[in-house]
Amino acid sequence: MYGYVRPCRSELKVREAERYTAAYCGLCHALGRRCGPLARLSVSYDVTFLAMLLSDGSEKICERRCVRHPFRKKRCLCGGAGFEKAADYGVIFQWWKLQDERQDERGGKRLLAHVLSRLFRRAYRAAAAREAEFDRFTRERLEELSWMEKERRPSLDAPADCFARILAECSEGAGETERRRCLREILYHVGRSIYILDAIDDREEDEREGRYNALLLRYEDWDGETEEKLRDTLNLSAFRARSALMLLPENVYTPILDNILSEGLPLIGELVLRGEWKNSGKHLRKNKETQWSDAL
Amino acid sequence: MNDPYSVLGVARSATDAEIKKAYRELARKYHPDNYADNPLADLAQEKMKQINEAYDQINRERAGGAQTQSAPNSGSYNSGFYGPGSGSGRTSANAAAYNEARAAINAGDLSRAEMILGTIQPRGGEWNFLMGSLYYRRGWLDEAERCFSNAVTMDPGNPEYRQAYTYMVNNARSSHAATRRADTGDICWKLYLADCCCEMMGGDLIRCC
Repeated sequence: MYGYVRPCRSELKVREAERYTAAYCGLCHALGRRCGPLARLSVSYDVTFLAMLLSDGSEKICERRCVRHPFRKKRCLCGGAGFEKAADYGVIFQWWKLQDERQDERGGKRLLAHVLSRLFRRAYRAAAAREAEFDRFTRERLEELSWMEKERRPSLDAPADCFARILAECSEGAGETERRRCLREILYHVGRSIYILDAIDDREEDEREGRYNALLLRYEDWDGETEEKLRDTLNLSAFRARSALMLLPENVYTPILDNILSEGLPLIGELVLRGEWKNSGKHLRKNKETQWSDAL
Repeated sequence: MNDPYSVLGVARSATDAEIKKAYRELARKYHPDNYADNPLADLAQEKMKQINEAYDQINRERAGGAQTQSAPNSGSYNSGFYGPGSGSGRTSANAAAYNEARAAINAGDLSRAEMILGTIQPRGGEWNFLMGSLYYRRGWLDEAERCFSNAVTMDPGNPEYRQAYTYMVNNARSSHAATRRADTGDICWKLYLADCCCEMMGGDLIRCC
């Protein structure tokens, strides 16, 4: 989806890094099993985070082949209810994001969104049949967001809140209230961070093309002070998410989730704030976190 | 109650020093300072209580029930700094509503507080202060800052509003350090913040600042 929520691999232990890769593969298989092979296109770091967060750590390691790795079996984590739920949520969210792009984008991106939603329709229907409530909620929030865009409201917190509530909604169905409250807080602040990071990332492009961007309306000039304010608000969200994570019972994913919230997200936030993320090219985006931590 | 050793995450055979170390680590992790103005403060407090009880119980058992070494009591720590207030824009008609809103914020019931504040007119310093507190707990730093600075402009003589404003800005800065390097923990900052909290509740920890 956005790819901001990922661990800083150089700070993970070897077995944690292996588990993370296996979780990514496990989510991809869960997507294929539940929503059809085309749904596997939507696998992402962000949804892997969601899957690990919703999981109770009961997945078993198994070895499987897939289209990307036809000759060598890869270790993946299978059979957990958390992963399956996350797969459904991920597909539904991806679908509505594509619908949004079909309306808002122009040219090639619009065409791509058209093609992808065609491919995705079946997967979406399968997922939406199981999670009708989440489907409705996501659609309503995105409508609310586009209404805010039309209104041109000069606020950053309000649209970020609207977006964050979509992710926070994934905590529904997590059983007991205490666990749900913690999950909600984590997901809310991760969602908020994603929205703000995305806005920072797209700011220059949106300004050039005259598109809506909450940051452009909220801050007239972009200077050191604005950057510092955004850094503060991102740090506060990462801190709140991490404080909530500490209140959850520990399982095998806790160290990875902790790494994502306390190392990965701040690292990527820093790169986005410096404007080095979007222009860094594919070679930096692809799992070369070591280089980033050296760069900082 | 759960097994006190598993609460602290140590083996039954652990030495006293190991237990003390585990206790300190957990107590630092769940310390109310880390959950000040956090909507999950009550859960952290509950966790802290369990840890304190477990530590006390182990010490009692090991001392053969003769002598007890009590854990420093942090259960009663009060992280809220919103006492009954006084400020401009306060008339006898809406004083009750303001108190109710404060109580709701302290109890973590943010949607109720927002509803109460939405009905209050006119909106003076106290309204902005409470709205700022509400936004801050939600993590809406931008709106919180705007409201707190409104409160300070409308009522420059009120120390509560000014301190809340500086506290918010400083706390956001320090949470960065706490996130990136959790284990080194900047003691000076913590002390300073603890001092700020004390001052807000009418006391003082460090005389000079």
